[in-house]
Formats: sequence, C-alpha cells, structure tokens
Amino acid sequence: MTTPYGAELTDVTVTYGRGNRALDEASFAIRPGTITGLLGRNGAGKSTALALLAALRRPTSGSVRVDGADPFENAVVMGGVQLVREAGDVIGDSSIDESLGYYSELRPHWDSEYAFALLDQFGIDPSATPNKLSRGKKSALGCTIGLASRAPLTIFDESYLGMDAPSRYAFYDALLEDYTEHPRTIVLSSHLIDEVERLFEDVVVLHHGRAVVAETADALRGRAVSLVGPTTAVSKLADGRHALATRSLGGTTQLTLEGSLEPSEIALARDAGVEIARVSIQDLFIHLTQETDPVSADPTRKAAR
Amino acid sequence: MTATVSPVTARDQEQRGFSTSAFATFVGTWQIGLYFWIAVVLISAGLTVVLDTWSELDGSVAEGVLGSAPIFLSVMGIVVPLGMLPLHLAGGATRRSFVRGTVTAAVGLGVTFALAGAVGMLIEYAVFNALDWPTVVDNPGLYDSSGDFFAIWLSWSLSSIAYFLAGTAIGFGYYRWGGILGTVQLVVAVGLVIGGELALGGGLPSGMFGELFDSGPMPLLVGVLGCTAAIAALTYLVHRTLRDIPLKSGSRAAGC
Amino acid sequence: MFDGPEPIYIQIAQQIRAQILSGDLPEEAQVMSTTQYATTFRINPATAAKAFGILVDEGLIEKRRGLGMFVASGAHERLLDEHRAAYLDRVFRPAVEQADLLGIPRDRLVAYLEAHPSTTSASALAEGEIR
Repeated sequence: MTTPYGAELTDVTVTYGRGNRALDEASFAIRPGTITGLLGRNGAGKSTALALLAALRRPTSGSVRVDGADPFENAVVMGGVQLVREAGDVIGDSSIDESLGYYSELRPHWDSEYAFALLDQFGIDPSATPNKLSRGKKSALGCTIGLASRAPLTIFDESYLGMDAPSRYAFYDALLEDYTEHPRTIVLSSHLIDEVERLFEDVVVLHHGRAVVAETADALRGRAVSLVGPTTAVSKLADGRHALATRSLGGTTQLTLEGSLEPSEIALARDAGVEIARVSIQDLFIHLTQETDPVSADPTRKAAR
Repeated sequence: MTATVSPVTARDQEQRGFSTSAFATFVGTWQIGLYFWIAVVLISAGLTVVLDTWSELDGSVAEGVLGSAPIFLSVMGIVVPLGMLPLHLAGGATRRSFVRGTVTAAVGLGVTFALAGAVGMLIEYAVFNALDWPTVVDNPGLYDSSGDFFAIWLSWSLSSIAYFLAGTAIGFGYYRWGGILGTVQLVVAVGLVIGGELALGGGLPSGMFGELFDSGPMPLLVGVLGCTAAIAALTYLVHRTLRDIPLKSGSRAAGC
Repeated sequence: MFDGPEPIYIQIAQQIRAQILSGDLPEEAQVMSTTQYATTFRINPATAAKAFGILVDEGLIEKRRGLGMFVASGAHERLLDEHRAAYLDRVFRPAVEQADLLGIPRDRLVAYLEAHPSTTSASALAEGEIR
C-alpha cells in the first residue's frame, strides 16, 4: 500500500470568467491519513478546491501541493487522487461495467472484486447504464468508484447526497471499514453535517472562497459549549463571556457560549442544575458562515438558529 | 492488505493512460462504426441498382458513399473524446496521455476505416468489371479507378485521420474556448482538412474547389507530404487545446 | 451518545471505564477493536484509537499481539479504588471540614456512620459514581 497523501493549498485564487472568484487566497492543509470534512455553503468554493487537488484545473494564482508536488499533469500524483464529483464520472450511455473497466485500467490500486461487492450491496446491476439509474443509485455508483479506487487521496464531493438514509449509512460503514483496513486520506464534502461530523478527524470550513477554519474536529467542537438550565444560573455562568446565541423560554435559557468550560466550571454548572452539552459542528458551521459577519463581530446579536 | 506493491512510476502511469485512452476511443468508435459500414454497404448496393435501372451508370458508386467515412469519423472525433475526457481525468490519468491516446486512436481508426473502404472499392471494382461497367472515379487524385487498392487505402487513411482530429479540435475548441474562439478554431481545423484533401486531390473538398486550382493528378509524394503536414498541424491544435484544459464543473460531458 | 461537552475520545474512555466498573466488561474480557468500535458507533477510527490509547496508558486495557484488546486483570479493582478515593475526597472531605468547623469530634462522626447502615447495594453505588 502506498502511503496516504497530504495536500496543501497556499494563497490559492481561482477566477472564473470575468472576476467571479470561486477561491480567494484560500490556504489550508489536509493531513495525510485523516478523514477530513470540507464544509461550506453553496458557492463557497468547495468543488473548485477539490477540483484543484484532483488536477481537473489549475489555480489562477497560488500553489497547490498534493503529496508535496504540484498535481497538475503529474502522472504519479494524479494516479493517486480519486475525486468523485457528485455521482462520479462515468459514460452515461454504456454499461457500468465498461466505465469501471476504464477505472480499473487506469487506477493502480483499483480493487474490482470490492467494486462489484459494493455494487451488489447497493443493489446496482453492473450491466445497466448509469443514465438509467435513479439518483440514489447514481450516487451509490460514485461512492463505489471512490471506495474501490483505494487512492491515497480519495475525495467524495457531495457524492452521497442523492442516496436515501439506509444507503448513506451503508456507505459510512463501508467507508470506515475500508479506511481502517486500507489507511489513506479521505476528504468528504457535504452539507449533511450532523450525519458525518463524527467521522471527521479534521475539519476545513470554506466561506466566500476562503478557509475560515482548518483544525481538528475536537478543537472546533471546543470553540463553543451549550448551557441549558434556570435563567439565573445560566446567566451567572455566562457572566463576562461571549454568548453566540441565546434562547429563553419561561425560566429556562439555552445559551451557546464561545470557548470551553473548565472542569471546575462544569462541576459548578451541574450542581446548579445546568445541563452542559457540546455544540454540534453543524451549529458551529452555521455560526461561522452566517451571511452578515463572523461570529465575533457583534456580541449583542441574537443569532438565529 | 496488499503486501508489497511496487512503487507506481510516472512512466507506468503514462503508459496506462495512453493505452486505455487509445483502446477505448478506437473500440468505442468502431462499435458505432459497424452500424455505419452496414448502412454504407446497403446504400451503395441500393444506389447501384437504382442508377443502373433508371439512369446511366458512369463510374464508381461506392466512391461517393464509402467516401463519406471521413465525415463519419469527424463526427466521432467530436463526440467520443469529449465523452471520454472526464472519465480519463477522473481515473487519474493525464491530459498528455489522453492526447497521445486520442491521436493514436485517430491513426488506427483512419487506417482501418480506409482499409474497409478500399476493400469495398475493390469488391465494387470486381463486380463492375464482371458486369463490364465503368470503374472510373469522380475526383481522380492519387488513384483514378476503384481498383487502385493501395492508393485508395493510403489516401483515405490520411484524410480519415485528418477528419477525426479536426473533429476533436472542433469539439474541444468549443468546450474550452467558447463560441467565438471555438468558431475560429473550427475555421482553422476545416481549413487544414481542406488543405490536406487538396494535396491528395480527392474527397469532397477537391470536388468543390478542385476546379479553382489546376488539379490534375498529384504526384504521390506531394499528396502524402501535404496531408501529413495537415495532420501534424491538427495534432498540434488538439495538443494545444487539451494540454492544460480545465474540466468544467457540474456538467457531465458523458451525459451523466 | 457522546453529546457531552468533552472531546469524544474522552467520553469514549469514560464510557468504557464505566463498563469496567459496573462489571459489564469483566476483567480478561475482550474489548471491541478500534475498527469495530468506529463502525458500530460511526465515529472516526482515530478518535476511537485515541480513547483506547488512554485506557492502555492507564493500564485498564491491554493489547495482546494478534488477539486484540482485553480488560486488564485488576482493572476493576483499580477503578473501584480510584472512585473510592475520589468519593471520599468529594463527599467526606467537605463533611469533615464542616464538622471540624462546627466542633463535631471525629468519634461522634464515626458513631453517626455506624448508626446509619447502608441500604443501597454496592452496584447501585458504583452506578452513581460513574458520571
């Protein structure tokens, strides 16, 4: 097995047409061997960033490095990066067999047996043509290509969004299993964050073409904490700290605090009947990418949740 | 876990990309080409019967019909590589290997299609001779009868290669450069094809433009060199368009 | 599950400690592999590995080459001891300090404890300690 690929974008700008910036001096790194979540709202630049890693295009300016080298037209690096765009790139009107044959010819680590086992699991007939598949099955085909590629950098760009919940969970299970057996770098871009956030070791958040977060999932989760309890007790705990969001109902308040609590504060809170919970990455993502401004700009604003 | 996999080298990868692309384009085109040849044989036979019954048969029928093979190849030259590129890049192969594969497939397709056409002409020649019908061709270039097997094979090979590559240059021209520059590229590509055909003194363009020039039978060397130059120029055009082509996001050229 | 404010790997470690303490995971019993744990709870395998790493460092579980991970012998007793000490520190230290402040002599405290025998079972006690 080859070693997992790391990747790095430094000050990368990509401009489409007349001044439409998909990426705006974005910089972030993907650590080799991790499962990294790439999050961002529609148009934040996720697909463009991923296309750069797979050498589907070149940046307008800045540097792209995959496994330490510029991936563009680099035969070895490109051969080690599998990007699955949505439902995957296949020949729509000839059999799935034929498209998979193309991948198996090109991909040095392709596992055909595994590919067919996955197709079977997803209920896809390899002699069917991709165009005739339902949206969910098309997505499952894309996921199959990504998993079977065993590429040292495997990227799923919203590949599993068309699948129904049971198929998505089957995909997550297959991904985790294959990832532990064949360690490699995995990047998942998605906006179904709640479902996948526990799969992430690292998280990158793109916003308006820039990386606003690039850190471990644990560090990101540590950026905020949620308190629920009697209003007086909650506001006492929150005193002097920056609240990201507040919601009150009767005598109960739910407060999202920036930062984390010390163990002593946690004990104090529990004694006062305040329940402490982590803030989901989904919620943090919403805070971080609110249209108006970054979270730290306006402490008095009550964030909509 | 796979035990020991020898390190992947750039040369191996280039070779994989090249052979996969060349093979897929060649086979993919022939799969559809088979239907083309069946249609062409039926039309030639039908036309011969019709002309013989209601009109005067004054020479080769197959020349015009089989001679449409390059046109067919130019259409395939547009469609097949356009559909193949996203898959090729998604499979982790380079544009470089794609260009090499496509040009190699174009040569293979040109030679085999021309061979099929030349064989067709030879069959017609034998049949017409047996029936004592004329076997002259309309646009004498490197050959002047449907029986000139090798001359037909050679000249049709060259023009077929040029037509296929022109299709590829035109298709990716619009894909990459958009409407205006794509049309400029189309004009250039068509111009090169016409130039190649005129050098060979055959095909559709020679029929249309041949009278403008003093186009008697061309010397073999001039024809071959001229068309080879056109092929080289078209190859350069394809390379220039594809060597750093960005893949469009969202649209699936393969229709998926 | 794993909704506490602490990092997930700490919560996993806590959960396994609780299982060892309650006897759900008896000593010498095999613990799920990192892969099994990751796929069962759909969490990042590195996160699970980190949690197991903590427990191995604490000597509560041990890796046996080629076999997997097992609850170490004496793990139950060690956790119990730790919890006992923590319990005394948390519950009795303030009580004793308060008693000193109020001038209640130690022998009276002992007499008080002896006059109030426990009615709860040991395992329920352990459960209460887990949080």
